[in-house]
Amino acid sequence: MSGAGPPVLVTGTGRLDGDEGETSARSRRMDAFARAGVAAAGRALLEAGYSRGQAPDPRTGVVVATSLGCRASIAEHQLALSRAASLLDLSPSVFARTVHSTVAGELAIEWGLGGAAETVTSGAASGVDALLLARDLIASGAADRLVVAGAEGLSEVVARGERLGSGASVLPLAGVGAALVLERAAPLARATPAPCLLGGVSLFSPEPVEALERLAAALGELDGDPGSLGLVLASPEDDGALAPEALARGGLQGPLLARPSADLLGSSALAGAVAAVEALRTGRASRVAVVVRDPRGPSGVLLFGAPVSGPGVPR
Amino acid sequence: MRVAAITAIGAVTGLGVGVEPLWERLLDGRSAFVPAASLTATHLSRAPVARVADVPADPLGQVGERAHLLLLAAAGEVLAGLPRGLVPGPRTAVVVGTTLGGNRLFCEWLDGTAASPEGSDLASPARLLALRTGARGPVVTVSSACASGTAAVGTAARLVRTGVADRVLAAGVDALSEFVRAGFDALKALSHTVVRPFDARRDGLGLGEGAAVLLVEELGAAVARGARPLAVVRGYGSAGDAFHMTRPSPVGDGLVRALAAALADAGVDPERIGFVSAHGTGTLLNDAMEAAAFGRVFGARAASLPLHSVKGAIGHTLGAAGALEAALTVLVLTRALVPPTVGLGEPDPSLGLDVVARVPRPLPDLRLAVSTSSAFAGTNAALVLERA
Repeated sequence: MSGAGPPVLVTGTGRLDGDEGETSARSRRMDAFARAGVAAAGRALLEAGYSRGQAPDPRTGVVVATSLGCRASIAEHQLALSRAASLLDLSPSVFARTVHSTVAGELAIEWGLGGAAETVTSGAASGVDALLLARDLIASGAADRLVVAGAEGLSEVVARGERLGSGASVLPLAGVGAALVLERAAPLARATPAPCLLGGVSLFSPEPVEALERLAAALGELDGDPGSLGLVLASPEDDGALAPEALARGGLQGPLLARPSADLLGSSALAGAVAAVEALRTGRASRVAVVVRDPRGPSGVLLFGAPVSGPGVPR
Repeated sequence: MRVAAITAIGAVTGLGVGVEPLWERLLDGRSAFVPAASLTATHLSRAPVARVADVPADPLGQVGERAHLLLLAAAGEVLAGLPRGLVPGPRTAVVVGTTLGGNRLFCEWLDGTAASPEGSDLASPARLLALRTGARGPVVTVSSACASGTAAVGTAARLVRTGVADRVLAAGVDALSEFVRAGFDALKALSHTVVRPFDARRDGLGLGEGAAVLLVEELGAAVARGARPLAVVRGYGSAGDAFHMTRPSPVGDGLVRALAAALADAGVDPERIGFVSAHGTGTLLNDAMEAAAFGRVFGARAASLPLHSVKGAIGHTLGAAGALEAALTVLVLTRALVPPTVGLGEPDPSLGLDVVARVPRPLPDLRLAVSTSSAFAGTNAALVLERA
């Protein structure tokens, strides 16, 4: 969504692969999508030193990214509707889950997040838009801290529809979630160094070669030496658009740090971002580009920088 | 500093195709609601709905999904007034707010009446608009339930103000379907009589459908190309209730925080706000929550601050609502006139609000207004708009 501006710190990360047996009463009322997002975001918030159940903080908020969102609950409601003889055959609680903002709502309640509440559903690039929106909110002073969570959770019928509709091959059947906590750099000084989200861009080019060229050009504007950036490819190589030779043509020749084995849909960018932050924390790279390519819709890149040392104020 | 201006609006609602039919019929106090029984006898829900009677066909004959058609019709009204060549390219973004996207098609596939759900996804309306217009900047979809349309306009303004885009087609869209009608009725949220926002006898919301498209442009660039700015998006804010997934905070905590964030973003004191386009669904809990929140934000002035709800006329259009209400607020600002709140007969005295009712009210000195939305999952959103 946006390009330059002051960096913001990544102070927590969280991942969830598969339904890892969350059995609280609250999590049982959620669908797989909501459970995945809430669990991944919870891990990221804990790592960032945030604690549950406090009074709602207007300076801390949540931005969620998803492609299919609550579609498993939507299918459940619709299939019940097609068999129903009266309204009494429908479950109000299932219908109440058929909004895509359930992850944002559940997280706000559980963690006392009283600030911005947004849910982005732009397809595979949702997480790019979500992270750049969060970065803008922090950079402009509208928020101090945001948890940004990518989440998907498919049922059998939803996965079947997605394969038919989009041609996606390997899909995460159980829940998949990935989250970052972003914070303002200056006022919340920390002793431990933290990687930064430096910028990024999302754009729409239906033609794959043009999309990659534009993403590479955008990285060139964000970073003086894009050829040396470590690369996290957040999308599967379904249509060859992100093949090494295609990337090299765009001037992206840095080491490949990670690539997913399945199409993580709207959680792709957040999963890629978690991998990028891990590479920065372990010193495998000093700057990492996360590339998200949606063969149907908008694509995007994110740029993460080396951990800053000292009190948390970036260079 | 870059300023986000609204330079064109388009709308499709149960009151007609186009902004002018909507405005004229609102001034006349008309309602688009029809009894469900007049549509077909097969619906589980018998609650009245505000349906778009004649959804314009796709000029290219490629689109059948109702939400997509509603969006294309509203976009057509905006695009018809623009110079050729303005929209295509990387400096134009699309932001669509929707709760369901192409969900009617997905449900048809589930029911076995459509061969494939292709193009039924949430991002499909925004993608379609980008493909049809040549917009090649960010193509964003936001889905915060019934606050989606407000979030779309706020997100569009952010893209312009931060320099990511020079112009944005900001939209809200949702189509009526058996899916939402039966669902809301199962939740016991629907009125089976008349939708009466802020009325002492209010007994529920009524569903509608529609789309609104607003062209949000960088003010300087808009003036340079000879456009007449209608209004400026001064501020936007959102906030979670952090209270309950389906019940609003009884004291309007989230709405108070969203309004505070929008006013802070705008750099505007609440005393300067002269008009409120409320969410005003006509449910007992929502309207009381809003009254509490407006009392906390505007203080004693809330009792004399002109307020309007459009949902008694065109229904609750879900993800379209916030964008339609932002477009209506633009009309109120430019025409210095507030339409009556259709459906309101006996204002609920316990709410302590000045809801414009029965006849239009002129507001010759109006300069700044807010438009608010409150949604399931506790999401609230607010816009601060200024007459250009």
